[in-house]
Amino acid sequence: MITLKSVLKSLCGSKGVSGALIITKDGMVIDSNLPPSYSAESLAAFMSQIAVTITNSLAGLGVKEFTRYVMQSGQSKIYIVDLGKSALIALADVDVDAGEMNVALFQAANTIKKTGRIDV
Amino acid sequence: MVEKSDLKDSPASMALAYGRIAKSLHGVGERSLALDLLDRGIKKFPDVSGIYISKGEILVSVYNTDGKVDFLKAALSSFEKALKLDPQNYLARLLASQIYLKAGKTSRAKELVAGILDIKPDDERALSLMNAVKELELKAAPQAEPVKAPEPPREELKAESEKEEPKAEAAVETPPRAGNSVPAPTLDTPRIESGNSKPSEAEDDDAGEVVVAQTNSSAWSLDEKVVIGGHEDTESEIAQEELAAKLTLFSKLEGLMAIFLLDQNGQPIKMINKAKLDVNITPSLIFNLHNASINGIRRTGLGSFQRGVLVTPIGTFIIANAFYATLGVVVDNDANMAAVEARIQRYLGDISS
Repeated sequence: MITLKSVLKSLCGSKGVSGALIITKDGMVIDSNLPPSYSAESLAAFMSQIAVTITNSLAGLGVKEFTRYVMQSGQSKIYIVDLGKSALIALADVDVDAGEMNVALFQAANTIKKTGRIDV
Repeated sequence: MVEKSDLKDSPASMALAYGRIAKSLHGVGERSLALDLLDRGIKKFPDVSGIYISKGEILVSVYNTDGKVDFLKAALSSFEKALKLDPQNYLARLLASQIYLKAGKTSRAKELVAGILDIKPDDERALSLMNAVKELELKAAPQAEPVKAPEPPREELKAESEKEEPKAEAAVETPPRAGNSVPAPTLDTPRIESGNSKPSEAEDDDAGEVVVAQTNSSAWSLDEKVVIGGHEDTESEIAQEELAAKLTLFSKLEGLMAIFLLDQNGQPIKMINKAKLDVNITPSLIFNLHNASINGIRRTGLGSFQRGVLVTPIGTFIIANAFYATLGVVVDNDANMAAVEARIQRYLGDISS
């Protein structure tokens, strides 16, 4: 049986991915696979704020969902994938291969959606 | 590159030009001309939020100089109109909340400031406003108790106020021109009331318009401590012009839909809008997402924000710091992202040199 934990673990097995989590858009952690140096709750809180900013603004443009948002800092890349009521967050190296990353995220998001357990 | 045809076809660019010229006129002391120009601009482009904000800014500036309350009411009306078109607009929220706070209308002030803090929790101006709102709420709490006073019943005052509303609304629609024969505010100072505590939810098209009721001076409470304004972009116009001029680097970029160069308050410095994206909401989306990203990355200890790429069904938004400004480039989802990235790097490299 596919579990969210296994999806996250598989995503984190991709080259350059250091951690991942699934959150609700109001900032609750559904599941996470992060290195100990990161706080899942803290990441969930701030990333949900960003996801909500995007969805609120896009709603004004008549768009219900976004595909993904990638933020780059000096240290890493943070990916946010819209799953409807929830979002998939992945932390990656700055020099991660964008194409490979997109494929890995797409597969993970699809699997998560198929589990049908995200509508919290 | 901004072609002449782009300007000709773009109401937003024209509205931007109206706002800029009006501010220049105001800067050289031509207030009446500036406000007349903006009124004409509003007639031509009634659906562009930026022009209402420009008008509101000038009216606030006139109020700060002259202290005539009518200008403040008219400014508030302008900001509320801008917020109807662009509910997430940072500057309109900030300035409107300052006016509401000054007028003692804490609930609407709080609602507007909370919206800013949701996106930018460390915004100093919004934090300071929120503190002031809370202080005012604390002060007002004991006054909520019933007080026996030999005043006319509130119902009577309200009825009187309602009778006066049509006249007052007209006054708001046509604010007095500074420097002209404007009667100074009398001792019977008017009171500002929001027509609706949540104008965005109102059914009335005129929702958010400031309802001004004539009443006695004891009912009026303008908090002298609350300073309105102080939001000016500190960087010179020359620097902004240079940033805008360098946008020619994006000419002939394949898949380009739009470029928005925004100042530190999220107001457009330059817009190239080939895809005719919503000129009210799109700049706010870019500015607010930029701020939320800066905050999110910093607070989670992931370094400092450099670039954001948002992929949506309508296009891909690339958001970057551009020194004194925020750069938002929107391209087709099919665009060659390496080419887009190279062009952005070149632009950022050029402006840094």
